[in-house]
Amino acid sequence: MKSIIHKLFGESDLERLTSENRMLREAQFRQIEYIRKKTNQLLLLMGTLPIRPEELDDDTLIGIDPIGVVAESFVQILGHEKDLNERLRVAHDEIQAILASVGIGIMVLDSNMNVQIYNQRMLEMFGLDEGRLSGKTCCQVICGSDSYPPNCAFERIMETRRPVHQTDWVQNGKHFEVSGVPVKNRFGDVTQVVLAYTDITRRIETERNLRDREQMYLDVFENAGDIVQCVAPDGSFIFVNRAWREHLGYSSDEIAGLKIWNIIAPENRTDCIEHFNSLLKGGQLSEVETVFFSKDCKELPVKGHVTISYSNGKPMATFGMFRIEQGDISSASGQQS
Amino acid sequence: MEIKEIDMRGQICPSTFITALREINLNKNEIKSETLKLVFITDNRDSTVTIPETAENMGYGTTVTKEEHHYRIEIFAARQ
Repeated sequence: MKSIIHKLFGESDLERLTSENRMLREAQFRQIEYIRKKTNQLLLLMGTLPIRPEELDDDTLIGIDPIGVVAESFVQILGHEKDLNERLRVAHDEIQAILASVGIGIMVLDSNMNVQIYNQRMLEMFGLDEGRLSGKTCCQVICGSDSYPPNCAFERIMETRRPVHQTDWVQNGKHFEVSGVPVKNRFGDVTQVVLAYTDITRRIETERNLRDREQMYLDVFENAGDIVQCVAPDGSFIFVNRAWREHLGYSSDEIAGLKIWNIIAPENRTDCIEHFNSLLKGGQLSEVETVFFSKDCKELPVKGHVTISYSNGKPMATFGMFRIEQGDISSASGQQS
Repeated sequence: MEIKEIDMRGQICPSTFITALREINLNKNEIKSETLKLVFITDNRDSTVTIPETAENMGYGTTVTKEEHHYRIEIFAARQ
């Protein structure tokens, strides 16, 4: 064979061909090595193991084109990431729009209490400058302190890992309803806390004014010379004044178990119940004349007015004011004018 | 929906991984249009992590179930 090749090509051609063949084999080896190296880099990036030579021989390696396979997968991964980013952007815009539209202050803190996100209402509510929030903790921004204030919602959420609701948190003379919710990672650790603040200062003031006014009216009725009573639809007493107690002779504990018909003289009781039920059904009463019946069985003829108040369209209570008429034979009658 | 089953038993990772990626790439349009579901049968435990994780990163839905002597990895269109 060798002699045939010698005859065909001559000695110099054979050496050239041998040398070219060696160079080609070396070049192919380098190419294969390059493909393996790059494939393994990509596989490592994908989070899997490198290819072992015994797993894929050189011919199979070139045949299945692993770089091409992984590269095409990367194209799909990048496309998917792009879709995800777009959806996240839309979700972010939606959240921003929601934050901007709600009438409550919302703030998101990281687990170190640093302010991450807030809405415009939050700035208005606490009189904050937008630039002052960057890199600051909630304590520093809202409470002006480096430590947790008493009843700190963030501190309680981090301790309990549960939502917290505070009905009246006071800061700088203003009252807030605070709701806080933890955001947890897949290990259950709290990574963020969302706090929502509702300014209830005006509501608290209104309630206080109403309570003051209610107390004032109660004082007026309590000290009135007339008999005043407020009766629930079931006939029990919601309120009676001092004159009522003195004339009828019942103590506060006894009044709790009384019904309106218990203080009406027996002969007037049927009429009185009819009037009472008529009033509950929307009827009108002008002047009422009846006879009360005291604890010590004395009759007290009275004349007065009864009105009814409603809540959500339903009768809530009747309100009556009575003056003792002639014929009063009670021991307390002397106190009446 | 058509189901294409690829039996990779006897292969180990990353050979199974490359095989799975190649099949997903070849059939991406059919999978995304919900006309095809790929099912890989493997006895290589590493593949039950690498293949689903990468397929999910590519935007597909996956399930892995353990059967008697092998694992069944399903690749299908993810619900948006």
